[in-house]
Amino acid sequence: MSIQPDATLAEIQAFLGALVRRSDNLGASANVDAEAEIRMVIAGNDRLTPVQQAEIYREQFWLRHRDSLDEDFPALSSWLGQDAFECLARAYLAAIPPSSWTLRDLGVAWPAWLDQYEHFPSGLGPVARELAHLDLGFITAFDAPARVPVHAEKVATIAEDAWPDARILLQPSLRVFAFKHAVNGYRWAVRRGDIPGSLLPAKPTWIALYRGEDLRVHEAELAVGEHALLVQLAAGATLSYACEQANALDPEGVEAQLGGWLSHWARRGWVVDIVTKP
Amino acid sequence: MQGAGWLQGRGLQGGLSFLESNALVTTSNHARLPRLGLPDLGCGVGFRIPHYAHVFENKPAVDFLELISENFLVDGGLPLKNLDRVLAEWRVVQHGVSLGIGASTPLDWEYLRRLKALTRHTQTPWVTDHLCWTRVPGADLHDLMPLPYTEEAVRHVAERVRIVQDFLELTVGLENTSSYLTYRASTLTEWDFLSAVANEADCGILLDVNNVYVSAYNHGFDAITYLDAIPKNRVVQIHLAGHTNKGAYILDTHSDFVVDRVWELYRHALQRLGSISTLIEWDSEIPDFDTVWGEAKKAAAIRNEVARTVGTEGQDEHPT
Repeated sequence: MSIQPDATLAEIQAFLGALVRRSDNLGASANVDAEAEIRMVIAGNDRLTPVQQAEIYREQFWLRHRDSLDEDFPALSSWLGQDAFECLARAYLAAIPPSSWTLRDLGVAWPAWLDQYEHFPSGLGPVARELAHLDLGFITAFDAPARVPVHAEKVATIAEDAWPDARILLQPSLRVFAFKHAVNGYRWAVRRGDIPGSLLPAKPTWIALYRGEDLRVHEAELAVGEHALLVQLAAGATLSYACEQANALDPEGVEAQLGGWLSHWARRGWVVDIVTKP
Repeated sequence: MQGAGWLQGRGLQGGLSFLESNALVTTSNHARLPRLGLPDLGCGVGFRIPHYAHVFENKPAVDFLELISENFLVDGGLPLKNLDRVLAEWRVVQHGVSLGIGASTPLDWEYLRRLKALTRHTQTPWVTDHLCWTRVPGADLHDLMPLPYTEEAVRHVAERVRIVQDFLELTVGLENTSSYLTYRASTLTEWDFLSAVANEADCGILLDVNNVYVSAYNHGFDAITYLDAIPKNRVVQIHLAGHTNKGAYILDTHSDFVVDRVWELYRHALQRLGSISTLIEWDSEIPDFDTVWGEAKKAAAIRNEVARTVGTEGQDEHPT
């Protein structure tokens, strides 16, 4: 954007806001016109030129946001390696500038953006996309709202014929995933400080992330039918409809284990209410 | 000393009457009281994640802890449990980084509602953030961007501070930031700008003595002149921290011990201002808690020494 010597406060801020988000070093890239505009706004001093003063803020913008993404996406960072991770982080930040007041939200749109991204280094994309979703799941589960789990006495009062139309409400921190690779094992290895291998064979994996009583985020492996059931229930389906959908994927599992799954979820505090038809 | 007279000499006095009130007349009753009538909490440290386990286990008798507001503006989980554990044992004050009081974008009411709820929960005696801007339409820079020191910016910031104070029903303290660039548009010195905003908004000042030192180095002004010019009764809290000298400029990294010259400036500030709640910030390359607390104890010793020698009204001697 162009700037005038009598620019208003809003114009100065808009000019600098665009300047510090530029991906290239201002000193290396500034053409005569850009440098002239920077000099129109920034005075410099006897040690630093106006461009060098602006460059301090531009560099800090990228370092701060890259570091924040690196901290929030440890498995993705490890999988891609430093250079590829930084390249992707810059592309993401350029496409979707940080818009929330909290850095905690910086990466919320990244996994969905990566789902559409087509320029991964050779062969890294499929696992990278799954790791991004898993990393984000840990962040959002960590400080999601908490609701009191449903009381066993309430469950006991539900009439048998009310269960098919019942809607089971789940803990807001619960996250469920279906992956084509065992990315959860990879992430744990990274968190332990191991250096995982660069190959991750295909292995269908269904997992849940949930916040335990210790308020840490834990994971639980799910059966395919259990995963499908939770996805449906989280979307607001009745129990009978959710079972129908899950049955299509895992007929034996759903029929044989539904009761066990429900009690397992309740023990872990995943069920916060059961709403029946009046 | 530069001040209202210096400004008048430049033909600016017409729209800057509030600057003249800076050193002469305060604008509210509470502004006649040291620290705007707010308490002196002693010397505290910033409550940072690497210290949580140590603090909860050992319960150090630190005067107070400063919380970064944004770390606790969440919906649930461990941060809120940790918050309640802190509140059960220590006096706390809240310090924020996301208010963006100088931005030209509208105030973020979702943020302010969350902030207000948190201040009610923590019972913080005041809430602080930076005299800066952080966002532009469509993007939050997550940085403490300096403002041009102009009459327009004074009016803009002061109006927003008044709105925020009214909404929060709490005194806001604005912190002077470290800065690395100078605007051609600036017509005021940094200290006159800070003073004018504080007087016009009728708010507090969080005086970061390290930031005064850093900006004095970066922009070639005299730090003592700065400290002597700000309205003394409006300073409600002091920050001290370390920094990184890059040669051509100093970066405010909060990654080291407070340097000797900043301790000297702190002593000078106390001689003028009286005892002010003082907080040690250490945010990167964070050492063990006792090392940070050691800096707070050093600040307390200086405070007590100054209180004995100066005997300023409103001072309370605190044990180290």
